[in-house]
Amino acid sequence: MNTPEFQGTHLWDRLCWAKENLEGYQSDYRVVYEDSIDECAKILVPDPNWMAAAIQGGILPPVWVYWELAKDEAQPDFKKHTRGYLLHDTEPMPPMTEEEAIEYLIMKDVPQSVWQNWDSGNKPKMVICRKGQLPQTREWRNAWRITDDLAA
Amino acid sequence: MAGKIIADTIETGAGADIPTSYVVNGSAKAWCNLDGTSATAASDLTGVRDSFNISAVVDNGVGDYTYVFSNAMSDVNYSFSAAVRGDSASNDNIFNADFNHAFSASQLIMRNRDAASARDSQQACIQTFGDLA
Repeated sequence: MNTPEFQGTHLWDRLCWAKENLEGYQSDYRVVYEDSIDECAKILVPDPNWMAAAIQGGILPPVWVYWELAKDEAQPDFKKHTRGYLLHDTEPMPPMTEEEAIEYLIMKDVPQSVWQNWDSGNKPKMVICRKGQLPQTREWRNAWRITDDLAA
Repeated sequence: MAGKIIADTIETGAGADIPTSYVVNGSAKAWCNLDGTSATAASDLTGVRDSFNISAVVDNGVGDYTYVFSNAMSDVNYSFSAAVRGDSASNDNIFNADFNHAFSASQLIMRNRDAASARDSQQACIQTFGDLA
């Protein structure tokens, strides 16, 4: 199925189209990261409908749009978005592979302080893995950390 | 976009009409049905069962999930509600204890009703109403 020409269409409307027309895609990838030494490892779980939209192409805006909105939110006394049009008017991303979609998702939903310097400290702050590589039960979940040898 | 309809009102077969703004303002802008107990568990289990306007769910730890939006909300005055369910043996013993709003995500924290300890939910469902960016 071809994606309609969506540039200039509200992103929410594009997501409505994707929801109606695309089958959700359950990715087996998980992204494990640590953004605080006082907290356990966090695990990013890709959304199946978002993955389907990313793989289809022509629906999602480029990731830099989200960075621009994040810059606005970081301003002192920021109250309301006024540049939402960037989400809707910027030319959408072309089709992505599953791996490209995960990379995009990391740059969108993982804190920049993590993915920009993921391997610069004493041990990695982020690991991309398969779900089956994570512990099979959630026992001691709040003690999960990334180990030095990249095993989650 | 093909098939676009522009209308200020919608009329039912019975002749009742409502402004389309009722639909726009009254629609959930994001929702998600998550099995928090299987987001990181065995590979044959599914974390996110279904959703809309969600790009990812972040498992922050026991009973603590962040739902990230694809299309952010315009401000943080939006409404966020949740319904959570525990395991079959103690369905009534879990409640959504806290949540945190952000423009692009909402965090849901769940606890045991009796012991107030953090707890995962088999169904951690959220809905968001408000204005989109």
